[in-house]
Amino acid sequence: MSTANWTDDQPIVSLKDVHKSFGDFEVLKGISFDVKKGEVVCIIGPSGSGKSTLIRCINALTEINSGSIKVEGIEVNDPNLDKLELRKRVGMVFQQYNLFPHRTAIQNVMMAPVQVLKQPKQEVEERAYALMKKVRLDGKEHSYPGELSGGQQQRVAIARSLAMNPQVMLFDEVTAALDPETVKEVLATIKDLAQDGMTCMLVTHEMGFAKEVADHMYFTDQGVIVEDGPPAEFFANPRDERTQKFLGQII
Amino acid sequence: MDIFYNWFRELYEATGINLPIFYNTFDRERFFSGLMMTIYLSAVSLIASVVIGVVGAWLQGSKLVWTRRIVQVYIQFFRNTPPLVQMYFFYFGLSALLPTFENEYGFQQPILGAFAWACISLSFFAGAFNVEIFRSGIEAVPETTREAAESLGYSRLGAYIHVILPLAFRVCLPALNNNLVNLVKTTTLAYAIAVPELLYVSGQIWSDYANVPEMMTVLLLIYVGLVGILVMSMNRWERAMRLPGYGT
Amino acid sequence: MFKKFLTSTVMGVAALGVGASIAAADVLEDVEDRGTLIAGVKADYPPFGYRDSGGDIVGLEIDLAEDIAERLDVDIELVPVVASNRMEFLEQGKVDVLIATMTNTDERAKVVDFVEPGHYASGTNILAPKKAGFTEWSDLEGKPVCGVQGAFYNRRTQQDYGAELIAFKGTSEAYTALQQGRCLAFVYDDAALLGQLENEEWSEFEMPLETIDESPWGIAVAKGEDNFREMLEEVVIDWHGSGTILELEDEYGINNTPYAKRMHEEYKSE
Ligand SMILES: Nc1ncnc2c1ncn2[C@@H]1O[C@H](COP(=O)(O)OP(=O)(O)OP(=O)(O)O)[C@@H](O)[C@H]1O
Ligand SMILES: [Mg+2]
Repeated sequence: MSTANWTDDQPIVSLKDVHKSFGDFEVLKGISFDVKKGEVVCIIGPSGSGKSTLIRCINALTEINSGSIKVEGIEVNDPNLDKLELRKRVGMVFQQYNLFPHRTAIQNVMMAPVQVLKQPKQEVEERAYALMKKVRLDGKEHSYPGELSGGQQQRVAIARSLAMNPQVMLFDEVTAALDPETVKEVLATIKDLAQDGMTCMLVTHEMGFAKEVADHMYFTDQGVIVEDGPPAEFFANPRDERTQKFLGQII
Repeated sequence: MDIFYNWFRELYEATGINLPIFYNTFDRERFFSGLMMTIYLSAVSLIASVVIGVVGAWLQGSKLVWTRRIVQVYIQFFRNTPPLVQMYFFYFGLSALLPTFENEYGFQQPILGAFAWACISLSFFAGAFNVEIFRSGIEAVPETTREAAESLGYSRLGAYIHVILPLAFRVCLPALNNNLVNLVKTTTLAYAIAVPELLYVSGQIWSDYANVPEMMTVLLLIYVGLVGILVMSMNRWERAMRLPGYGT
Repeated sequence: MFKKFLTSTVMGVAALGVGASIAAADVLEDVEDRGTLIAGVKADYPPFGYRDSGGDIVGLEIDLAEDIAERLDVDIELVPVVASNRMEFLEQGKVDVLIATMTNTDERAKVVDFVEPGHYASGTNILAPKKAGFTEWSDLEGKPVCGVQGAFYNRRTQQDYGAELIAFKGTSEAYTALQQGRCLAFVYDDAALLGQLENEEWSEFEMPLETIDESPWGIAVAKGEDNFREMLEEVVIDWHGSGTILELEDEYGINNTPYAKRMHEEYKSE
C-alpha cells in the first residue's frame, strides 16, 4: 500500500486483468491498461458496456472481484485500502453533478479540504476562489446549487474535485445531462485542465471533443477493451468491426 | 403585581371562578414550578430524542447485522408499547435492578430519580419515532450525493454528519415537527411517576380547591401556548433552512 | 350546576331510602324474627376486616359485629362490601347494619343514619422506616415523602410541615416507592397503614407520628331505623366505656389510638 516505490515515470493508473460481476452478470471481463502521468484518456463504448463501472472501480466506489488496480502505486483492490489516501489522489465528476444542495458553490468547493483534509480555512478559501475563477464562475461563489444552471453546477463540481489537489481526474459522461449550449462551457473547462497537464480519464459521447483532447482512445464493448490507439488513427481507421459500427452510428 | 393577583381573588368572590394559582402564594409557586418542570422536561427530552434519532438512524445504516437488529428491536419495543407502561417499567421495574446509593439521610436510594427516568423514558419513546423519521429523510437523499461525498474522501460518518444529515433534516422536518409536538404532550405522563410537572401540580391544586374546570382550562391554554411556541420556532427553522431549488 | 345535580340525586336516593325503611317496619324486629344479624363488613382492610388464611372474614370490626349479634342473641351473617357499594347494600335491605371502616361525613349522613359516637376513628399518619426515627410531623421538613394524588392532607404535609411531597396515582405505587427508598415516609390514612404494618415486609417500618385530621367512623343503619340506631348507640358507648375497643386494638397489634383513649376516658364512668 505504500507509494514509496512509485515514481513519476511509472503509469499513474494501472489496471491488470480487472474482473467485475454483479451477481451472475460479468460486467468487466479482464480489463488491462495503463495511464501515464499527464495523459488524457477517453473511453467510449455502447451503453451497458461497463464504462461507468470501470471508472467507479478506479475510485473504489465499486469493489472489483479480481485483478489489480493501482493508483500511484496504491493497490485499490486491497482489503486494508486507506480510502482517504486513494481519494486524495483521484478526483471524480459525475453525470449528475451531485453538488451538496445545502451549501453555496464556494462552500461546496471548500468543504472537503477543510473537513476531510483539515487544511486551514483561509488557505482553502483562497484556493477555492481561484478555482471558481478557473472554471469561469467568479461571481457565482455564493449561489446555491439550486440557483445555478446544469453547466454551472457541473463546473462547480469540477472545481470541488480540483480543490482536493488530485493527481488524476475521472469524468463519467459529465456533459450527458446538459443542454447543448452549456456542454461547451464544461468541455472548455476540461480542456483547460488537460492542457494544464492534469491526468484525465473521460467517459464521453462527445467524439469531436475526444478527438481534440485525447492522447489515447479506448473502445469497450461487453466488458472488454476491443480496440485502443491514438485518436487520429483510432477515428480514421478503426480496425475492429464493432468499433466501426459504433463510430458509424455515433458520428 | 399585587393588584393583578388580588383581581383574581375578587374574581373568585364575585363569580366563583377560582384561580388560586394567581392569588395564593403557595399555589402560585407550585404552579409556576410545575410549568418550569414541564418546559425543562420537554426541552431535555426533545434534545435527547433528536440525538437518539440521529444516532439510531446512523446505526441503522450500519454494515453489522446485529447493530441493525438491535436498533430494530429498540424501535419496535418503544413504538409498540404504551409510553405510560414504559414509564412505570423504567421507574419501578428497571430501576430496581440498578445499584442504589446512600442518601443524605443514611438510606439506600435508587441512583436515578423520577425526573431522570421520565426524561429517559420520554426520550427513548420519542427517539424511536425519530429514528424512523430520520431514516426516511436519509432515504430521500440520493445515493449519488452520498457517493459524491465519499469520492471527496469523506468517511461514512463524515458524509453522514456533513452532507446526508443536513439534507435529511430538511426532508423530515414536518414529520419531526409532529413527533416533537407529541412529545411535549406526552410529558404529562410523567405525572404517573410523581414528576411535579404541570398536570401533577394542577391535580394537587384542584383536589385542594375542587376547581377542576378552571384548572383544566388553564392547563389547556398553557399547552396550546407551549405547543404553539414549539410549532412556531420549528416553522421558522424550517423556513430558515429552506434551500433555493431543493425539495419543496 | 354539577353540585346541584349531585345534591338533588342524593336527596332523591335518600327519600327512596326513607320510604323503603318505613315500609320494612323495624329492622330490629326482623333480625329477631330471623334469628340472624346480617352485617356488611370489609374483607380487604386489615386489621379491621380481612380474610384469614382459611378464607374466613375476621378483624376488629368483625369482632364488634359479632358482639352486637351476641347482645341481640342472634347469629351473625357477614356480607363483604366495598366502599363504592356499601350504602346500596344497606338501602336495599341486603344488610341490616354496616360496620365497614366508614367515615361519618355529612354527605353520607344524607343517605344513611350513623350511630354516634363513632366506634373508631382514622386520620392521617405516615409509614416510615424505624431507622428514620421520625417523632414529630415537623421532622418531615425537607424530606421526600410519598403520598397519593388527590389526598386532602397533601397540601398540609407540604405547606405546614415542609415535606417534599411525591404523590402517586395509587397506593401500590406509593408503597413500592417507599420500599425502593424513593421517599422516607408515606403519608396516608392511618387505618390503612396499620393494615400494612401487619405484613412481614413492613417489619422494619413504623407509624411513628401522632395521627392528625382524625375523623370518626360510624356504624350505619338504614335511614329512619331509630330503634336499632339507639340500641347501637348504647352498645358503642359501652364498648368505649368498658375498654373493649382498646382491648381489641391490643389484640390486633395496634397502638392505642388517641381517639379510642379519649372515648374511653369520656365514657368509662358510665
Ligand atoms: N450496482 C449494480 N448492480 C447490478 N448491475 C449493475 C450495477 N451497476 C451497473 N450494472 C450493470 O452493469 C452493466 C454496465 O453498467 P455501466 O453503468 O458500467 O455501463 P456504461 O457503459 O456506463 O453504460 P452507459 O453508457 O449507459 O452509462 C449494465 O448492464 C448495468 O445494468
Ligand atoms: Mg455510464
